[in-house]
Amino acid sequence: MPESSLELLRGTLDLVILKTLSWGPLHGVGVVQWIEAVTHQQLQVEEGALYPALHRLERKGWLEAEWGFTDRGRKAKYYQLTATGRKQLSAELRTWSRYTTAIGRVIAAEGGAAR
Amino acid sequence: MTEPLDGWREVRRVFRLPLSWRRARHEVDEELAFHLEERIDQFVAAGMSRADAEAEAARRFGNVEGYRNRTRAIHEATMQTRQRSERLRGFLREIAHSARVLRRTPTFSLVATITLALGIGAATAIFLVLDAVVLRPLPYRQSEELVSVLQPATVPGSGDQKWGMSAAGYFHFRANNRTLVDLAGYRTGGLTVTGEAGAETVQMGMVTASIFPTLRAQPLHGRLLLPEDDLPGAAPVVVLGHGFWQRRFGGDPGVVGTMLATAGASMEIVGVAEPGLTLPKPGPFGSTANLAGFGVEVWGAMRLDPAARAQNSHQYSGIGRLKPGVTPEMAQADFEAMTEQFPTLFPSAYSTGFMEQYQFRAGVIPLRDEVLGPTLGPILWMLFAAVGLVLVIAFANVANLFLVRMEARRRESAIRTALGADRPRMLALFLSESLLLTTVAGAIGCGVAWAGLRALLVIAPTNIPRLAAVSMSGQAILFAGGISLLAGLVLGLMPLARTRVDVAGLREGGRGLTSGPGPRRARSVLVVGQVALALMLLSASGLMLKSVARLRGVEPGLEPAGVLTVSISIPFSQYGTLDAGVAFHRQLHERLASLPGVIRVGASSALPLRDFGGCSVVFREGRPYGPDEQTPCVATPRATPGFFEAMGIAVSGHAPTWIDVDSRSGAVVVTRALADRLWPGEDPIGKGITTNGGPDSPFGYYRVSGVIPALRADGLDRPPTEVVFYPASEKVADLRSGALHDLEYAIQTSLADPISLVASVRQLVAELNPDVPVVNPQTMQSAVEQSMARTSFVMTLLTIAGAMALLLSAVGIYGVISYLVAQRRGEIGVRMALGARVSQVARLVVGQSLLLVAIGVGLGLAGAMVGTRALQAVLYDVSPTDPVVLASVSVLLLGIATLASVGPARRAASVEPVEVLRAE
Repeated sequence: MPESSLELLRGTLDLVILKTLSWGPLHGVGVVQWIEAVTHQQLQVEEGALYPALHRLERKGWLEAEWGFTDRGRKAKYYQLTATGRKQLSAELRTWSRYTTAIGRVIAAEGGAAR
Repeated sequence: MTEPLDGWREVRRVFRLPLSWRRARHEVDEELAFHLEERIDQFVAAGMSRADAEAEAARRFGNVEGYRNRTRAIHEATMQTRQRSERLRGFLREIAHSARVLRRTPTFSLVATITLALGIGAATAIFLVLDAVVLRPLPYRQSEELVSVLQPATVPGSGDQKWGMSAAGYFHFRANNRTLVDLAGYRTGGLTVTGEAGAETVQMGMVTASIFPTLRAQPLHGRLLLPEDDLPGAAPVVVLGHGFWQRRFGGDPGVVGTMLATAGASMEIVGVAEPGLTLPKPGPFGSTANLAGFGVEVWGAMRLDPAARAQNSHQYSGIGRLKPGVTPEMAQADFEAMTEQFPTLFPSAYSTGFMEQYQFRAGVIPLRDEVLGPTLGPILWMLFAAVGLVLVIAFANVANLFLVRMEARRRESAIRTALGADRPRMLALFLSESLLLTTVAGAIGCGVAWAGLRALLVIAPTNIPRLAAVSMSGQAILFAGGISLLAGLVLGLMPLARTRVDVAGLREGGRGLTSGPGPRRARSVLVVGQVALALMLLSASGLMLKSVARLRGVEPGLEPAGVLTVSISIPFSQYGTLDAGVAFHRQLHERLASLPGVIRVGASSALPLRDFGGCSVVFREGRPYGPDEQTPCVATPRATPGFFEAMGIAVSGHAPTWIDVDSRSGAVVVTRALADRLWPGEDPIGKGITTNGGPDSPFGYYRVSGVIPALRADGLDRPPTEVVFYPASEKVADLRSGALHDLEYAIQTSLADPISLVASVRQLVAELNPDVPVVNPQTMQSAVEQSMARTSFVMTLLTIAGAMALLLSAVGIYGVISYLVAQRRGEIGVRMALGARVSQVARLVVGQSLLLVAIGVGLGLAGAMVGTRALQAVLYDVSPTDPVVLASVSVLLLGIATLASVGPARRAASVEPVEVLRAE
């Protein structure tokens, strides 16, 4: 466990879920593990918060859910991106990169840049 | 990246998404439980103790209950939406499937739809007429409480007459009744309005002030007439009708308080009535007769004098409003009791002898019944029943088509059932097919009704009250929709009885596919019923056709071709005496006669076939009526010289001329019907006759100078009219009389369209006197047609219904016989193989069809004997059980049945025995 982990910014959970599922269908635990794996456990997500989010995205039609079995024969609910979900993801990614670029510029800016 | 997707497909096929609530709820629980268990397992696998793993999983998860509830709420909403769209999709899929199935058998679908659409269309059209004419209430507040108050009498020689109220009766009834909230009297007439906008005659309602509370009417501006306006000697004030106020004064509220200029005195305008306020149109004797709505343009108070000497004159229409809970019958009893007091209260006007001889009585009738007339309501219901029969016949045909189709699809049903399709599923299949078909038919039916209605309005007579108000309504669409739904349900449920596992139906090529006795009998019953109903309808239309033919054969006693009629009223203020009026009219006669296109001109105070009402008792010279002789009460119009010639009324003897007018000869013309009554077997020429005040009056007796052989002035379907035509001039000079102020002109023209003459007549009258209006231009031809209108209307509708019934039955018979032939192919083949001749086979088929039709005809005749009695009121000179009509209709149906079975018989005769036997 790292000493200090990052709180997930409000509103970014959807983006994280969509991005995670863009690699293929996963169940809730799979999503958590994937986030842990790619962020080296830097990103702190309360796991329960995942489920209202998953269901909300499903309701919006960005995700599809089906029951299936895990490798170890356990019944689990799998989520996968729909076509609209994929579109939504690329839209959010664009927004996010513009956002981070802008924030990055703010941070990098020296005093008097606005003159 | 594609690999997991294939496995995903597999997963999808195994599980279907749960739909029920309980499962939806459970699903979220399961999902969260999996998460925790999986995590615990992972932590244990990573080396934690069980307890630590559990604690770690819970810590990482957070508030389980909170997340569970939030997730559930979202999930349930998702499920709900999904279920809804699933259902809609299922429904659309079902319809698409049904449409595909129906398209596979286009002939069946087309014939069934059109048949049903015609039936529904006809029924809807008649429903609309009924709705507008009979079902919709009269245009008054709480109109069901309104009653018409009459004082009917049986006039010796003329039969029952609906007299209105007398002035004495009005005051007596109003003061002493115990059953009405209020009672009002009115009569209608014309009022010549003058002023800057020009002279015109407007429709005037002379009313007692109580009319407004009785009708619960409201003013739009100012006030209505008050009891103090209605007192004898009160200053004359008027209330304007809404339409007239809009038309003449441009809807200016400032007109209230100003004076209305008329040909007589000017009158103050005290108010404007609310829009749409009309009076029930009065009949000839002051009864409220069968045309709804006399559009009052000016309302004036009658100002009757309660202290005046009672007179036996019944010219006021009476309207009352029943107290809550009082029935018309109770009011009737109340008024009868009050009428019995008449000889005591008014001995000079209503003697005991009069009461007995005239059977003078009281009549309180619901206003609606009075407005619709005694016969119209039942006739319309009968027409509705007729169209209902057409609908039933149409439905029988469609049901038959469905039965045949059911047989053909028996194998399909059997296979589906055997494969596990449950009954609800099969039922849904059949229902969605039949409902789709009947819904389409219903929609087309509405279109048919709409188009039919346009056509109906073109051929319809104007004397059916409120017919012009007919329009497509929501109720009619509901009605058509209801029929469609019902038909669809019945047709869809028909196969219900046969969807059990049908082993016979599964046997390949087995004889199990020929139908059992059940459906065959059902089909025969359909044919028999159809024929019976068609026969009843055809009988009805046959009787109406014969009535119309009889009516057309009736001689009206006048020559309507080319005759234009207009009403011309001269103001009393300018022509104070009868002779002054005569002088004006004589001048007008001469000027009119010189117009190009005009052949002859004459005028009378009443026109035959148009409001020829009125009844005065006549006396003959030197021979008082015996005690057992009925006193004639007849119409007594005044006619100007030239009237008979212009109307084409033949007069034997001498028709009065202007010389008679100048010399005040007192020559009158009577009809043969009256002459035969007064002087049976004698020559009436030169006989003395009088009306006014009897033999003691200063006028003495008038001399009969001419006789009209036959004149049907009350209507073509009525017996020849008894009438005395009085001369234009009186025997005494300078009589102040209004009798000649309103004259109906008859102008015989050589024009194809006499109405085209109206403009030049107007111009000519205006040159003579600009204050004299020319109103109500009509042709005599239209009066003759209107006299037959009701009969023609009923005939047209019944003929359409009958023709449709005939067509549909022919189709039905053809269908069933074809089917039966197809069923008996095997048998026919065997017969032919055994040596039966072609003609024998054909006879067999035709015979079978004729047998069914004969049974139907028999039943139909029995039904017609009972049913056509309802037509009695509109039949003219034809018995409801006219044998010629019934016989010809029966022969017609039998003939059509034979024709309809010729095709199938040919097909039967062309059966190749060898083929059939091989197929067996």
